[in-house]
Amino acid sequence: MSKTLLALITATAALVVPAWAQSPVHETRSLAPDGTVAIENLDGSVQVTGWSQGEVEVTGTLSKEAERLEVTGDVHRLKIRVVLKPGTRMTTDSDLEVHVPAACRVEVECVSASIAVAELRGQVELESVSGDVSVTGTPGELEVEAVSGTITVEAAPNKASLESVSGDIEVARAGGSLEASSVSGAVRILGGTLEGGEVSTTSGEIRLEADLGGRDSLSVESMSGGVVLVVPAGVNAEFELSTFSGSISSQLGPKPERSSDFAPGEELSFSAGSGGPHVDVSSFSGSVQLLTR
Amino acid sequence: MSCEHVRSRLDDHLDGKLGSRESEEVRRHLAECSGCRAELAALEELRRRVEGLPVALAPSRDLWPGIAARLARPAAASAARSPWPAWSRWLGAAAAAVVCAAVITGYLLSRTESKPVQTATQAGRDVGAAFASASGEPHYRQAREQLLAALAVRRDSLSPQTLAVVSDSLRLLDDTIVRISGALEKHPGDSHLDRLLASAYRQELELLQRATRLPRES
Repeated sequence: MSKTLLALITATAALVVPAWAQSPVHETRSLAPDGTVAIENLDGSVQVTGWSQGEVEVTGTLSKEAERLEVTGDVHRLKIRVVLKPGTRMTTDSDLEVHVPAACRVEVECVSASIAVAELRGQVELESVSGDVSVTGTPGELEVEAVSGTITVEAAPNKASLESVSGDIEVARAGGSLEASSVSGAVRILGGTLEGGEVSTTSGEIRLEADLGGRDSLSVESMSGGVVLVVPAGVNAEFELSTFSGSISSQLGPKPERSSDFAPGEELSFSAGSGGPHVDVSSFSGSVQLLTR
Repeated sequence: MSCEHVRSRLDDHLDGKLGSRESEEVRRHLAECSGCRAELAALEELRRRVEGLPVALAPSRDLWPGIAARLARPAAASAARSPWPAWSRWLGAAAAAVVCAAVITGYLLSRTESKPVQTATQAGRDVGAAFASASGEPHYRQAREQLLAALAVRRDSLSPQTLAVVSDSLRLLDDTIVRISGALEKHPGDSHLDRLLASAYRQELELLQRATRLPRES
């Protein structure tokens, strides 16, 4: 056998094996409009999309390490799980595409699989360790936890909680009260309206460009990361900015003052416009900037 | 029966929830596998330690309900829906219990006057402030040690990458705590620093709590 032919066979085998290794799945179950769907997948991806039908449809492919797709439960609660072959540890990708009634509750837990949800209107809880998480549309409530994966939210609902450790958090449009925290990841809220909540990091940068509304207090805190607030020039809010050893620069209100004769930090408190929500920004060594747009 | 399967069933084994056939298979495996016996022993030890927590110091539920809710909710919710091995969920709940007990204890010991019910957020801050006080710090340290022990028990179930992220973050938070504490020594009574220190304590405990209930990766 010539070397060329051998190489051709080897290359062909390399292309074909993955196709054999993955097996397609297709399952359909009824689910009440206010039912719950819980999905587990270690590696690969999980994509959940809301639709108007009263059933759950699962399609996709299982990795060669997967024994089966397990679907259990009833019309009120369905559990969808990729079951691995006994003794299997880490796996290659299993990719699931799941359609669910738009108003149902969705819970997804993954390890390194990425999670993407879209067009859901019910309560959504997502957890991934290293996989990225993205949310398109506006769920009724949203709770996301990640470790090193990034969290991207198109439009946060009135009540949202986003937590990461080293991954970044980005919200294109805030929609009410928001809790967002990361240790070393950045937190960016790029638009919409924030109506109270808490945003915190240890070393990650914080950038808030949303409008400030409602009556509830907004707490923004970073230890060593910088904080940038970009607000409308005519904003109505009560600002209280302080940093122990960083600096404060503001395009609104009076000049920042030294917080004490003996400490290096600065502070700045003032009411902008007709007053409004209390905005408390605090840092240890990170700089604080209040900018207008 | 594989080690992985047996380890995923240890919690139910201890609770007597396994069927007779599965229970017998687990027992047979344990008789022959020293690694799984060590895992079982670690789990039993963890249970003993958590059972020994100062439950009697927990406040009545009408006192600052936000405290327990804020710190216990994530782990409890996760335990109810987590698909991962039962004993990893149990560890998470145990860790949450440790944190709650320590936080509440720290708060009660440093609390000098009755305060009205506040929001969970404010309660969390004030509890953190209790940690920052001289009487609260030992309880923070106790909670931290217990959570670190819980994390050590299940470190083999996490990937090296995840462990690295958790370790780096803990180091970052520890460094932050040291820096703020150093600043507080120079500027005692600085309320801004008090609050930041409390927040850093709280973030560290919450990170440890989360780490102990992460899904098994390997």
